[in-house]
Amino acid sequence: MAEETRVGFHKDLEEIDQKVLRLFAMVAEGVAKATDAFLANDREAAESLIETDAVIDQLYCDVEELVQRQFATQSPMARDMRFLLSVLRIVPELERSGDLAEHIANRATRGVSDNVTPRIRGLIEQMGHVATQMWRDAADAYVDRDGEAATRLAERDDELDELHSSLTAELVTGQIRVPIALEMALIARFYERLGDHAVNIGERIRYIAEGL
Amino acid sequence: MAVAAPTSEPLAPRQTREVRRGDRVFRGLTLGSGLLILILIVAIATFLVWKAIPAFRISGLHFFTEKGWFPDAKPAKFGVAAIAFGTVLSSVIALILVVPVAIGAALALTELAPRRLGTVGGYVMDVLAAVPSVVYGLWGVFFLVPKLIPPQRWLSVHASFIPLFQNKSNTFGRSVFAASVVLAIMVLPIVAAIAREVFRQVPRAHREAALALGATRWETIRMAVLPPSRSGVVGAVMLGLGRALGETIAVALVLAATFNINLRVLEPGGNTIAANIATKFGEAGIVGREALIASGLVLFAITLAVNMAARAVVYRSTRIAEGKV
Amino acid sequence: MAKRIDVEGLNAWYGGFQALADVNMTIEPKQVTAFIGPSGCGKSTFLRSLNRMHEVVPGARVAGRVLLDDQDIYADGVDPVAVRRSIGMVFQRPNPFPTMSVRDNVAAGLKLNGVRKKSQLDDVVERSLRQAGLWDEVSHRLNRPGGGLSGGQQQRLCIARAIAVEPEVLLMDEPCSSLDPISTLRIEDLIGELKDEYTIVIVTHNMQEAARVSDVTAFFNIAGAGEPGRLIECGPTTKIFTKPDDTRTEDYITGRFG
Repeated sequence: MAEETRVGFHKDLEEIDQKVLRLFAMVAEGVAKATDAFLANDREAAESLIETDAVIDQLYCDVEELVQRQFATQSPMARDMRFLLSVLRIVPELERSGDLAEHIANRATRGVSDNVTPRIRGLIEQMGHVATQMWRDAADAYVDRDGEAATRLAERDDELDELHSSLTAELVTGQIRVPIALEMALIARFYERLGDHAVNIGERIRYIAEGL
Repeated sequence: MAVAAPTSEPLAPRQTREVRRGDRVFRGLTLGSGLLILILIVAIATFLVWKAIPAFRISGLHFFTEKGWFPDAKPAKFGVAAIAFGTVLSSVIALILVVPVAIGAALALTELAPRRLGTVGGYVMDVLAAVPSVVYGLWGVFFLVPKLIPPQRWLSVHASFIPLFQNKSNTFGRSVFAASVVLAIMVLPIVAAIAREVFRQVPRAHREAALALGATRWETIRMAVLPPSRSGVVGAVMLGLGRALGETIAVALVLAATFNINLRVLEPGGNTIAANIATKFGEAGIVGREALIASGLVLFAITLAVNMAARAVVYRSTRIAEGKV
Repeated sequence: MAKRIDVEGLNAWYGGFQALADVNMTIEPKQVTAFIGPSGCGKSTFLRSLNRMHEVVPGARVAGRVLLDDQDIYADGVDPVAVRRSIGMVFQRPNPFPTMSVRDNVAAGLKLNGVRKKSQLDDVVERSLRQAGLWDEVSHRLNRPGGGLSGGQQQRLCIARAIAVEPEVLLMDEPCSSLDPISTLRIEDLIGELKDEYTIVIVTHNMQEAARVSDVTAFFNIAGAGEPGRLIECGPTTKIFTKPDDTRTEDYITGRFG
């Protein structure tokens, strides 16, 4: 039986894959934790998330450098090339999403969630839930190289957009003070962006599976 | 400074010393062998010259113009004119007959024959080249010469417009032509065998280049096989020529020895230097022996001259082909 | 110039050993088609059967049809010499005729076709050498032997020799594999220029070269030792190198065997 060839190259591909998986895990966790931290005004949880984001940023640089090295030295073709190209487009989305989760958690230190109506709290909880679900789905899709996930993610993103509209409607009723309302609008936007990033990642995963 | 004495010295000097000694022995042996050959040749040439001088002193320049061979008579009258002429003429005719046939046979074996037949044919040819010439000579005298009478007769009748083929004596048989044919047959295997080796050495890539351009088999041979083989084939012919020039017994048996210069090759008679030496040596007196050695020297010179001329021709034609002239 | 080749049911043998089984493909004109595959997969055998050079090897034979613009070159009564006159070939190791000058090398094919006039020959020689990108380097030494050039120059000389007779198709059997990288790139550029006028088929061991140079790539493979080579997949080069249809193709291209 023929021996395995390009062992070094395949090890590097494995390493890149593992790093991306770690990034997915950290972002999915981060979204869930950020929501909880915000709603509970949990300062400590918020701070640990900020530290995690630094790790995410570092991992992002590592992955980029590893991918660049493969292109320079290994002339990747076909599925290897599609994989590496996709990784290059996925990790910025992951890094940005890590930043968004950190932004959400940051608001916990300012005690914003104490000053909002129960309905708004509920909507935030739901948005957090949907976003976390989408990210977990995206992570699974990456592991399975599932090209179908993009469609599912697009549908859930519609859900998220509707929640976003509802929240905005609540905010303009004037029941809360303007500074708080502005903060809340921002946070709603962050969740909506998290959803968009997950959808983009779904498209990149479809490319790995099927090509252009 | 070294901290501890190393257990094995770098480069293992004992090994290199042995290797160097082996190299020196080898070089000595090969140099010695090469020098030995040179010394041998020089020694032979010197011997010939030394022993031949007395004969030259007796006959002077007449050595080259006198046709008869009576060295032991008083007064001595001898010269190589006739036998040198006979040597050159018979060899030239032999070569004219041999070269096309040998090249053709060699080409047939390398280019045309299926592979196994070609290899077997090559072996056969090598074996034939090794057969001693006496055998060919005997076969030539007793079998071939009588069979050659009708063709010679035919030639004298139908080709008589060429003075070469006129026969004024009306006897056919033991002529220079017949001797040349026997020489040709004797020399054919070695020329063909070497030519075959030379053609085989032409890299396949060049044949393929010609074929890919759409050359027929013959065009391929002309473009890719023959040109690079030129020098080697000349070498093969030179080797054959050397054998022909020095052939003694076969010629002595075929020719009814006469000492005259005659271009009409179908007439009986003629003689060569080598045949003369073989037949006259037994009964030669002192002067006779010296004269024979002198004629051997002339043969040596003829061979050298022809060889050098051939090499010069090849050299010049290669330079023309390369556009350096 | 630039004909199209349709191959139907081609099989090839060396004596009793079958080297190639059941190949069907079309080679389009004015394009470069590359054959890739592991050693022994039959790609060179296939190439050589396109100009009837395969049968030159004793005991070798071919079955099937090869249509050059709808004319089967293996039909009864077709002269292989005529086929080879209209299909040119460049070999792996440059093989200019060693005793011929540069000019005579390029003109060799023309002389075989009966062209005798010196002025005509000179014109074609210059044109071919220019097309092969060699004119500037050899115009002052046309009468010197072809063997005195560097490897890359010799190969371009062989290309000039092949295109001097304006063949319908140009076959190249690993033309760059014995050359240094710069000579390789120059010849690849040359191939890119030549494809405007000729149909070109190139066999190569170097996948990057196939990717750079060809419009269509065909992947050949053997199932195991002693098996005949087969055509596995043939398609546009970009597709083959980004998302081929067959896993075996993708495994070969990404360097994963076994």
